[in-house]
Amino acid sequence: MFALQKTNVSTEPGEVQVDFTQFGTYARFLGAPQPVGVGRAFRLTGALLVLVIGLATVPPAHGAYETLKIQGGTKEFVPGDPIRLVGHSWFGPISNCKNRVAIRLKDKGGKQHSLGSIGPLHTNTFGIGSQSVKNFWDIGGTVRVPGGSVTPGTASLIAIQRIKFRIPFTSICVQVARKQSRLSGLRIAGPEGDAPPEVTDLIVPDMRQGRSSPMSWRSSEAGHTTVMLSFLFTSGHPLEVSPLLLDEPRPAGTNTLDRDATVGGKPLPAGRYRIELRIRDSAGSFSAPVRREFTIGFG
Amino acid sequence: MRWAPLAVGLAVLAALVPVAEARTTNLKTHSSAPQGVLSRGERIYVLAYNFLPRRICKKKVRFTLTDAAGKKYRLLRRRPSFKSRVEGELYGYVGDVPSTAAPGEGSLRSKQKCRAGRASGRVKTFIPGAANPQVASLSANDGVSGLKTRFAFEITARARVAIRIDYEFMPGDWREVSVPLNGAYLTKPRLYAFDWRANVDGPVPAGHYRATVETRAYRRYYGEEPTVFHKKTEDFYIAERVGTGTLTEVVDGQVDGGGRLVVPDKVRNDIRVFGATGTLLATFAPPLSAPKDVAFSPDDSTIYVADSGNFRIAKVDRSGNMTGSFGSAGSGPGQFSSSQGPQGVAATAANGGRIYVVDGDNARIQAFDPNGELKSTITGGGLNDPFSPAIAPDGTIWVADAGSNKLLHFSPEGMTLGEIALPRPFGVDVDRAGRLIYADNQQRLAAVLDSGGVQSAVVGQSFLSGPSGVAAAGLAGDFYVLDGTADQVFRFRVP
Repeated sequence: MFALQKTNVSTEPGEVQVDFTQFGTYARFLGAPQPVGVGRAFRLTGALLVLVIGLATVPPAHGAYETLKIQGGTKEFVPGDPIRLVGHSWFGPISNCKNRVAIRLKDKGGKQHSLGSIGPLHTNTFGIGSQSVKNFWDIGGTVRVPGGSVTPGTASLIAIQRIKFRIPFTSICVQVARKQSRLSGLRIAGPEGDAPPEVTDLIVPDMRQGRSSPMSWRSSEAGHTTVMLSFLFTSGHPLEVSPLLLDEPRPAGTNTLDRDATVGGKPLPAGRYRIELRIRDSAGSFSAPVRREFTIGFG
Repeated sequence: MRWAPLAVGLAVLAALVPVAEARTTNLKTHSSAPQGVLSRGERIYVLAYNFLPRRICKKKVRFTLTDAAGKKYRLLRRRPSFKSRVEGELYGYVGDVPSTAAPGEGSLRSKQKCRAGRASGRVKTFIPGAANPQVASLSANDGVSGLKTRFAFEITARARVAIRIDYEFMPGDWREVSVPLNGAYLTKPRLYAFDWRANVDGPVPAGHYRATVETRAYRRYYGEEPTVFHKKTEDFYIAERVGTGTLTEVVDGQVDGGGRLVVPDKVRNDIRVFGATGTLLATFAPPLSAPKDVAFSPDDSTIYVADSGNFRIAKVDRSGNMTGSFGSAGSGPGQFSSSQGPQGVAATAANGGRIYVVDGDNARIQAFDPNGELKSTITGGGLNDPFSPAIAPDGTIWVADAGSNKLLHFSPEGMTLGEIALPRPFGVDVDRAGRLIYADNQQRLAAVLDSGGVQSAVVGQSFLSGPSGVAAAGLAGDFYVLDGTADQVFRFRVP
């Protein structure tokens, strides 16, 4: 253990002076211009350690292997589709500072859309040597292509990990490095220059097993409408229910759909569910997917 | 001096031709296994660097595996990378360990050879003598959502082991929900125990789960399909706890037409109503003494309570007000045992409404109309100490008889239709699909028999202390088990 004797903490790139003279053990820190041994520990006895904050920038796609990959290798996506991402050679959480990887979609118009973030799965320790980064993390998760404002055409995914480090005994997380990777060559389905349909007033009431209950929505255009149902764990972890509840053309204006809480004639288990609705118009433009949660109680 | 031009010529030539150099490539195999241990059939991944720069040599790197018998196996040829930070780095897959490789010590070589230079490296390898590791046995305990449940498995040789958890969302529709162990390297062939906290980001729902333990080869990154040597699966059930901390002593309960679980509390002398998600919705406190069981009128407006301390059936409305009662202590018609009172109650809409009351010490079941008038009495069929009644969708009556250790089946007229011998049945119910659910207090389990009488599931054996009642709910195989010893209520789902 160690204690902080005096600090001159700054979140700006620069120097932080920490006196460890009375204490034996402390974890590492970064050197510039590339990160070394994040998370490694070494012994330090009676030294005045100068910590360098910032500066370090990991080169894009650092390492000799894939940092970001789409499972299944699909390259064309319809708005609302899930993109199952996996990656390698990312950094794990450092000193309890969250280091999730933010995913952005850059569409053909150059606009960037945030798709959320995915986190580390587990670590691989290769024992490569003291000169290299020791702890690589695999990442994995699912993001969804947004609809509506995304311009169809070629697109790319950008993954950014801001590597933050908690200054001991300060509860301050400072960014010490930034890792970025790009996955190009994707394609967002749909025609260019056509206004996408809009879905409003989606109402999905709660229901009970064995009873039917309609849901309703308003669409700005006629189009092929799909309604997907997912069962949600307590944590929100979804299980998609197949087949789709609706997969057919519907007119513009107010629409309704009867639900009977069964799939294939079998009653759905009681619990929390999520409906996702999207529309593709005659020109091929997709609406932004609209989601609502509801519950199915015992009948 | 006559040699001078030749010397100058040689010097010029030496300046033009790059000096042949020999480099060591620092070859390593890498995995979560100890360095150099390669199982047969396994993928080999390597890390090496310091290969010759591209300006000198564009040759690919050859990898060769030599087994303990000296036999050489040519693996893949790979081109090193010069873009990354380390010069001439080569990372990745170079081939599989042949299934015919002799066990024991061998070596793995990398070699990049060209006219101007040579780069090579070598690591010792060890190929275990045993065949590919197998999962010899696997057992999985039932568990409670959010709490630890234990899997025990045995492997026959050192292996990378993964455990996958699948969830049966609908009958036959299995979904992978968690991989709590992902390729951990276990070095000894023995029995291992693994505790899984039944969480997937948060507590998992009640249901039917399947644990799969597999021995497999190393995989480079998440998402890559690993080579699986062998696997075993075992099914188990996860239950959700209902009303934790809100119940002091429970015996039996029932689910009403709205899907709410109604449980009388024998010590607090009140009735508690829980929603489908387990939240406490209401507490009624009419004048009751040691209530043990409840039933509902066909329109759900009246709760019939086995008010055993007062030797009567109490009628309570949905606001918790007492609206009437019938019965008294004794052994005559319409009376209930003066030592135990009514033990259980069940109601049906048939014949203008019937309320079947189990009278334990008097070894009989009495049928009343909604006004409390005695209509019939069932005494035969080996009734000894009946505990809990249930009405099947076809109108027949099931009774858990703890005295004769049987589940007894009667027609509405009181004819014996059958019996099932069990160690000590305490609770019974029939769901809308006609499946019989019972609780066995001695074996500490609950079980489901399908409509053909075949046992389709046994649940809760690892954590139930003394189940005393069951209550079927919904259409998808949900039911509650009331544990009278632990005074807890668990919800199960058997799809």
